[in-house]
Amino acid sequence: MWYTLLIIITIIVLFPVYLLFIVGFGATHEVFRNYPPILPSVFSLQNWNVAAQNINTIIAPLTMSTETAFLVAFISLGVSIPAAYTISKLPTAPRYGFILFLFVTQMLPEIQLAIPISALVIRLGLYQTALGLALAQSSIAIPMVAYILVGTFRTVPSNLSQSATIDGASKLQAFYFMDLRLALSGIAVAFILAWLFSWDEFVFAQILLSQNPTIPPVIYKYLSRGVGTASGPIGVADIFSIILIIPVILVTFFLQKYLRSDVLAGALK
Amino acid sequence: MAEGAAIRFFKRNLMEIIFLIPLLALVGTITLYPIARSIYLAFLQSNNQIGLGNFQYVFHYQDVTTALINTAFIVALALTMQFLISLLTALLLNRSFFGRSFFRTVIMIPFGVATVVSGIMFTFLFTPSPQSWYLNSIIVKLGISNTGINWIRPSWVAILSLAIADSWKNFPLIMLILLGGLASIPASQYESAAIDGANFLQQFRHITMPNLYPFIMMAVTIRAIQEFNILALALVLVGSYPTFLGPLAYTTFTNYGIHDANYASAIAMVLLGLISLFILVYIAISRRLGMEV
Repeated sequence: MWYTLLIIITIIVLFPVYLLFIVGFGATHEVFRNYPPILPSVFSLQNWNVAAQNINTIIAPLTMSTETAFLVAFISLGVSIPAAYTISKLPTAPRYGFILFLFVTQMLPEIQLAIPISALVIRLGLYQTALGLALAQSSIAIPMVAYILVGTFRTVPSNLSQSATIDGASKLQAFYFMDLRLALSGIAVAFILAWLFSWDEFVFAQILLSQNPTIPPVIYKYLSRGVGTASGPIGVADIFSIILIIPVILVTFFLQKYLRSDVLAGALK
Repeated sequence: MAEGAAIRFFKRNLMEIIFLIPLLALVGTITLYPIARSIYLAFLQSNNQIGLGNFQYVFHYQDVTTALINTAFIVALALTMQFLISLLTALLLNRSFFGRSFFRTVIMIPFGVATVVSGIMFTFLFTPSPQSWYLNSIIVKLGISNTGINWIRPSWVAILSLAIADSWKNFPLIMLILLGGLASIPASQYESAAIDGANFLQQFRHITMPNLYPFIMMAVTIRAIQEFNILALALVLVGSYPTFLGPLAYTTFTNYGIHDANYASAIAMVLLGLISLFILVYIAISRRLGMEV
């Protein structure tokens, strides 16, 4: 019985993804009509042709999304790695205090941050730039990254770096040569999560980059232009979506092996 | 001397203190300052005085009350839905059986699908007109209805559809956390319970659930806050009707009128109030239930 249940859940999980593909590879006359068939009879590259004609509208956003995602990952890890190392060494009460502080900043509505941040980004002269968007997105990414890294550093055995310090290494050397190396898998997880968050982020991108948008706002634009029309824009939105999710799904497969409970709960242990 | 002790402490922990500075500086600039600024904006009236004018305005001219109710409704509905399905899936996946890692991997797919893209997928599923799309295809094919169902009107149906789409996208995160929790329960607890003759339900109630509580707390807190902030998915799937506080603040802000940032901040403050209220009630309830927060 439970095996059947699991198969049903799997089918429900896969069905929307399946829809994305049958619309993408379907023929206009079969897909864009009332009650389209669940099992399409025609395979077509129509939508891909339309998307290829619009290829310039995806190359720039793809570059922008990639650039922003790497910036977010580097910024949030750059400030979080050293801070998380310090926090992980603190006694329980102040450590909880720091984590609570990070959580409280996460509690705020994204839109509430977005309004003043966009004014700030404009004032810094970073409006319409990847760096401006990356800074804004880091406000959400940093607490998440710091939390995971505190957990990671807590699982790194401290006796190794302690004995290194006794052997005459400075604290900085012990951190750099011992703890940082040992925490590498957790750092990789945090990096990928920050990267994925930025890749997926919509609100800041929509507000801060109207001229050079990242991919999610472009897809949204095509979709909202296309609902109720014969095909064109929705087909393009569909193809762009397929391009957007394939690398991410592959990364998720890789990631979930490392996204384990001891990393997630470590900061609170 | 206290001063000397402070200097010694500072010297001994110089590296640790320097390590904290970049994070604190950046969080101060891109989080704490904007928060303070946003609270200020929300109370700054169009006549440049501090007061509740923006709140009066948005409650009067925009349907903040409905958005408030809708937001509370979608949070309750979507969280319940995705918590139950996550718990069920985590329990199913916690056994050891052939193909376990295959199912585990496939079920994680929605986690990697961007929110906007999940909105598109469910548009294909739910769109009722002018082309009635795939969910209605199924319904007509199965003979449940001749014409299909309108999945985005009236607004409570739209909220239900949105909750389904949201649960699809977000249940893997909760499941992952719960699966971690299940894996942390020592098998010996179940063994001794089985020797004492406890059945599955008794084991679930007295071993599984108490051990899972901290993980449930963590998952529900993270997801609830994200859920209150629901924006992109709602915008893609149902547009601005029915509206929620996030999308309402967003559309108010992007009108780009002169005073819109202040009105939008006021709406965002209402959302912040709702989230704070939720957290207080949540802490009170979990204290009463004897859980540690």
